[in-house]
Amino acid sequence: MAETVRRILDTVGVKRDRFYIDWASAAEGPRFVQLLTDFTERIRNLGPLGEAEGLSRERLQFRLEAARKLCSNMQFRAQYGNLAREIKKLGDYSPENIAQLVEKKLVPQIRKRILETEVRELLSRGPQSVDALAEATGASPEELAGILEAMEKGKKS
Amino acid sequence: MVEAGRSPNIEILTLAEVEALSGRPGNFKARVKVKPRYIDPEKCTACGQCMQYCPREAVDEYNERLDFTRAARIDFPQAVPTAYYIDEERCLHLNHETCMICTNVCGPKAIDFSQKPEVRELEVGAVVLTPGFGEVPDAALEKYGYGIYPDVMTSLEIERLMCVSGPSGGEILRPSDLSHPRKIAFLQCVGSRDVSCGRPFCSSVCCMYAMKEASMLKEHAPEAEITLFFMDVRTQGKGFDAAFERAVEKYGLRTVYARVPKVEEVSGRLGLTYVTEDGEVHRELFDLVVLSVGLSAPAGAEDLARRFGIELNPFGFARTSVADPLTAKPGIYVAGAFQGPKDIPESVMQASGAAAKVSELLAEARGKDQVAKEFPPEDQDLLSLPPRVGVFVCHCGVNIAGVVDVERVKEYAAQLPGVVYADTTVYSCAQDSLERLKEIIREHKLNRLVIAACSPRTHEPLFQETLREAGLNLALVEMANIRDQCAWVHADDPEAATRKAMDQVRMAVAKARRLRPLELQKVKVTPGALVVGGGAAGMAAALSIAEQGYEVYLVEREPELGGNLRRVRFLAEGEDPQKILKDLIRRVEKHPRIRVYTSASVENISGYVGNFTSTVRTQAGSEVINHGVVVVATGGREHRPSGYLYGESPKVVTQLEFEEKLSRGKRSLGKVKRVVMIQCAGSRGEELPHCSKLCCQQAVKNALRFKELHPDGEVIVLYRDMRTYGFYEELYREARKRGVVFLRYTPERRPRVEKKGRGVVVQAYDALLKEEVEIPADLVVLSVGIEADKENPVAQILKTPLTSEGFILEAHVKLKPVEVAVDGVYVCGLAHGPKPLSEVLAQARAAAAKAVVPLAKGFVEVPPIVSSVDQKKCIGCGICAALCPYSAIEMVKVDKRRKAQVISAACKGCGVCGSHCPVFAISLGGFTDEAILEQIRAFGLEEAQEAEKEVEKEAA
Amino acid sequence: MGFEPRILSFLCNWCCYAAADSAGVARFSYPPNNRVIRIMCTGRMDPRFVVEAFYVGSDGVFVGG
Repeated sequence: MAETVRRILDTVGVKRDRFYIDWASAAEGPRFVQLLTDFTERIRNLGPLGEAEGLSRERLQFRLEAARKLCSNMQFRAQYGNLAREIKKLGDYSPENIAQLVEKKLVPQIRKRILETEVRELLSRGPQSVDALAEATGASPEELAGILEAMEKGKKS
Repeated sequence: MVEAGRSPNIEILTLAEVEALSGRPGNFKARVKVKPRYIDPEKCTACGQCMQYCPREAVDEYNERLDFTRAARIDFPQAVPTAYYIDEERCLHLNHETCMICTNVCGPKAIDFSQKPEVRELEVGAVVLTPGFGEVPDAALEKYGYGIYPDVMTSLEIERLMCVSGPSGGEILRPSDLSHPRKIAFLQCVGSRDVSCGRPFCSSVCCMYAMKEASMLKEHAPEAEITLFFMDVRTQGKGFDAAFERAVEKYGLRTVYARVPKVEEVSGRLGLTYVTEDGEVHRELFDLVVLSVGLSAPAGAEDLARRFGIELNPFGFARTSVADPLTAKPGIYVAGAFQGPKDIPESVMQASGAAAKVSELLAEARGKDQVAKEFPPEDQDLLSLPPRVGVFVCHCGVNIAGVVDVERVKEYAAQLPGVVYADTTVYSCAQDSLERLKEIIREHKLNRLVIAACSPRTHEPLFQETLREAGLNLALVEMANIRDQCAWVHADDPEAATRKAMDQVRMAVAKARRLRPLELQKVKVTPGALVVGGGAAGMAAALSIAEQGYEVYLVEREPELGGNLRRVRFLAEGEDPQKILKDLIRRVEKHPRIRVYTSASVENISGYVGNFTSTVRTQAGSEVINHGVVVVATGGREHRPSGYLYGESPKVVTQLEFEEKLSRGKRSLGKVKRVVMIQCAGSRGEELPHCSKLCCQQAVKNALRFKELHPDGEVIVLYRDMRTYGFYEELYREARKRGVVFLRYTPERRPRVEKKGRGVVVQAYDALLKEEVEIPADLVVLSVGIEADKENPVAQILKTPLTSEGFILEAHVKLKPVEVAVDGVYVCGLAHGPKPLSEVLAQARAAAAKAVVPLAKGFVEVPPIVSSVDQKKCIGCGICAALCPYSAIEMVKVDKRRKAQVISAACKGCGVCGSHCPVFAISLGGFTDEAILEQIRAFGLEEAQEAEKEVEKEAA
Repeated sequence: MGFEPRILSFLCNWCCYAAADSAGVARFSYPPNNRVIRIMCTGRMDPRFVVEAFYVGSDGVFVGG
């Protein structure tokens, strides 16, 4: 879950440091205090959401909206669920292993789906140049070409 | 108190006294005299009109005589029963046949002056005596100027003074001039450890409560300077040392080792003269002196003892034995401070233990006259209405209201969408508040509730039950935790805390609107218990459970039963530990309902409360057993300190090793003439952080034993604080009398053991001489303390939380002292924390009592926080079934299609299934996607509101 | 006035939520910037919740197991 979230945040340009997961047992009140104090300090240093990212409010909302759609998408969720199942089967919960698997199996999906959603949304607002699309989504020209091609196909069929 | 008041199986007789008891265990007749209350509690609505109009003043005993009350009164609003009464000694009508104003103003006509004393004959099987403790004699207080100087107060008075509903509304004012005291002194051991007033024993609780009161005073008045005068700091309970040190540091409390002999008045202030351990005399002025008064035997104890035919100890407390610490005589049990001074956790433990004793005695009659609690059917009309949320913001006395502006939170809550009612309550969990809650639900047709108070982890069940009583489904309440996670942790920033409380309430309301009724599930219980650990604790728990009528599987790692007790040779109380041990083993081994597994280990425990399945491995092979509950009594072990030349020199031994030598008589000691004992060797911050509670009494006991064998021998005890609490203080006094020398050391200057020639010497700092002294020793005895089994495999299997020292953490120190956070798992003995044998045996019964609750009920009600699958949406991918850590989801064929299905009884509600379901077909009761998303959105709302305000501002 | 971050925490009922309660019982103090959503286990966490939290303007999201 955590690694997937980080990758989604990376994709939409939100600093992954804004998300943090850690553990404290029921007996560890002082540890909880430490975790929360440190995390608050970290976020305080990052500044308000968007500021450290250099994203305007609208841009941020726009990009997070695409991420929301991703998280509700049935195919993506199935891929996410299947990956979790695979990890459990392997029994290797090391961060390295999880990171590697997420990189291989989910990251391409995350990028593709988010960018696709964004491109669709942008195009629905009117014609856009490829440069403008790249600027708005942070996608590489190759990625954009792929997405646009897929959309063309989709229209024809 | 509230729970006892609500149980249909408990009849509470107040203003009542047992006059006589006859009969035998199992079949007693008690003659009870019930004094008239003059107000019918059935009719009384606790509106308070009678008290408001009552013209007759009376001294408020409940508030420690610091205030006045009325003849018609209730002592405090949360009293059970929540009904007023009339004080017959003060009432004008009862004494002078006048007045009767109360009769006229009482709306429900509850006043009844015709009531007469009533004598009732009760048929009971057993008796539990819990009269509590009494006050210290005035003579003990007068020594310190109490009653002469108004600014000398008792700790009990301070307790009332700090209470919001107390005489000064929670403000700390000194009585002489109603000013805020700047310098406050606490004098410990008033009416304790004092032979002159007949209280030579230690009251065990005052050091901790003084620390608590001092901390609270600092919260009320941060500028106050507080000094506590101790003889010894006796914070021997579990986690107490850490709490004490934290308070001293956080609140800047000053601690002085000195017994202040008296208090004098010096121009409006109070002068204390005292001698510190370095022999220097000090004189200091204070504005307020608090006497930390001890716990005496209850008033009328002799009378009580006579009527019940039980024995008292020389100080008027009930006499019991180590082997059976809760039995005063067959069929008559004791618990709490009447058995000896003790704190709340221990009293609660003893109370449960006494209940176990009763349950053992009356096992045959179980359930005969039981009344099951009935709830009204759910009000379908009310449930079908769109969400109508009621918000209750709790003051929790000063706990919340002292920091959070509860009025503002209430006002804010009132205008939130969906909220039709909002109010504040002083204690939302009190009986009267719960009754009011039910009325308001009916009156305002509320069908969702938000309680902004403490933690749902402790109090949600109480409110859920109240909802059921009001005809609502239990799942329709949401709590906003504005105490534990708000007021208590943001006490330094009331504004931020108030805003946080408002946010949490808004989020709770948002979630409440999305709450759906859930069905409570009943699961059958396997009527057997697994007890892990065959030491004194495990055996005593096993015996009690078996005596109460249930099967027990007792698993011991070693080839023989007995655990640490096998090594104990003498007890401070004088009884023979080996006899107690033999007796326990004999009874366990011949009990038809106990199966003993020795040289055995528990390899696996799966399942949940009521239905556990475990694998026990013995030398003969593995066996699978089914049981409903687990008692963890895995013990602890003697710590092995590094340093002190332990293990390097044969002249350095532990207390248990010394005890072994002593038990073999004078000969085994050889030429040992001088014994030096070192307390806290490795404990209290050296290698082990904690105090092991029993080493001080062990040292004193062994010192006395040595003196008995060697009247000319010398014993020197080097200690930090002598913690011979309770009646163990007698032994300490005896040891001093016999010439045992006690020398205090500070943690900065711990004693060292060094080799010198062929012998050993102890280097220690003498505070009085102000120099390092070298003490040659024939034998050095280390009081090493008890350490936890860090790798406790049973705790790991059961995933029970541990303290930082590795002891098993109880679910709640006071409310659930033998329960563990995992349902159906109980703890007792050294696995819970170090303690002497009598306390272990009492706690074992307490664990047995709690463990039998689900067994006796025959079923457990599983909280409805379980997953359910919408089979219409389910696509049969099986991800959930594969991910479920508890194998609680199975794939079934429904109309030839694969569908997921939840086994509710096995579901623990973790929600991993739902968060990984591709099609959102799984929802978790009480924590649905919609509810959580709604909470997240409500969290975001504040920002939206702020933004709106900005826009408005700009527009303006 | 300095920037006061708004932090949303998802805390596990058995672990971090309990730890947070015990921090209160012991009267520790920590910054008042977080708001808490109680969940029964971190297994309940759906990436969607984190994204949603940022979407509604959270400056940071903490998940405490």
